[in-house]
Amino acid sequence: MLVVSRQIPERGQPGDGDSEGIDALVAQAAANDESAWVELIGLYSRRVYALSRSRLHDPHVAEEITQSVFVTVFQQLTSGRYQAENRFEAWLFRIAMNRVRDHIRRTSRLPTHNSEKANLETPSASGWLQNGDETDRLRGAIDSLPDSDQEILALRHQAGMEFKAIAAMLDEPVGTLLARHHRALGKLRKLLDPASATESAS
Amino acid sequence: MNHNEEHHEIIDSLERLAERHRAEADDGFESRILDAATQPLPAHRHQRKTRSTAWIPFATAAAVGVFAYMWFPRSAIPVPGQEDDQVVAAATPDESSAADLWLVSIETMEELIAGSDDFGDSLEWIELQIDATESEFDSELDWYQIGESL
Repeated sequence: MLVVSRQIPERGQPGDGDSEGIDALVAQAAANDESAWVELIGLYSRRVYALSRSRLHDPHVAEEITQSVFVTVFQQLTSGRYQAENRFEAWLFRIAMNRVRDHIRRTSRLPTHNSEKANLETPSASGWLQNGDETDRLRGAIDSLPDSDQEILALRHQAGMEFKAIAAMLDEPVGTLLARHHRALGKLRKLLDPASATESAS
Repeated sequence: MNHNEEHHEIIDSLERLAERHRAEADDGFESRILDAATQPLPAHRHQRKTRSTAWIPFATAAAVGVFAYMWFPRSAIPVPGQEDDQVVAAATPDESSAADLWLVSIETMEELIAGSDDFGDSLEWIELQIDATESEFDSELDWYQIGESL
């Protein structure tokens, strides 16, 4: 087995942006090295899952989306169509985010009975804010935010991406994303604890 | 993270939520993802690369349409809307009459106008003759004279 010296983060945890190590791993995976695939999936699959899970609230759908993302990644890498050198992470999470957006679009067009079913599975944001535990309240508050705020929080915290990688993925300046992230956190704080947000502002 | 010091509690909450999501999937999660990613594609996906024959009925229908247009016998009577005809006037049928008047070409129009002039002239000439000879038909004698002359 080919051994590549690189710094690999703990399984499922965001890395420290060691793009050279990741690129070497991706190159091995592209050569159909199964151990490289095991490592790549170990590194990123739970982060992709967390991203999907936070936006869709359904663990089964999140796993399906994660699978479809890695099927695409495998096909692209092994067929030689992968052209995003040094930007693997941005490329991977762009695929994931597009799948999540597609799913949201599709389900929003479904007839009423499916929407009702979804409502049963995912209580309203206000319900969570009033009655749930800390996690439920946080999820409810995130759901109350605009889509762009939800996306930046999901990419930064659920996917564990660096702002530089998010900027590459969304093709926006890092400064813009930092400001958007800061605003989203402020809104979230205000939703979860209006009193402390008012004190802080004064 | 300097720009978000004031939000450190929220950030901690978000990180805890992310940890919870990442840990939510069971131990076999990675194996399932690996199996799904590396399994060969179903055969039908490759078969779709073969040349499609779906175009044949459409092409056939288009060819039949073209030949029908080229070879279908045309009516000798000018019909409104046909090539080289210019509609200059049209009358829609009313309820009491089934007759349609279609003036379908410049030539037809001119013929009708010329014909109506001749007919009008003839009528005027006959009226003048009648007026001129009216006094001559006053007596039976005149009628006999006319009869003899015929």
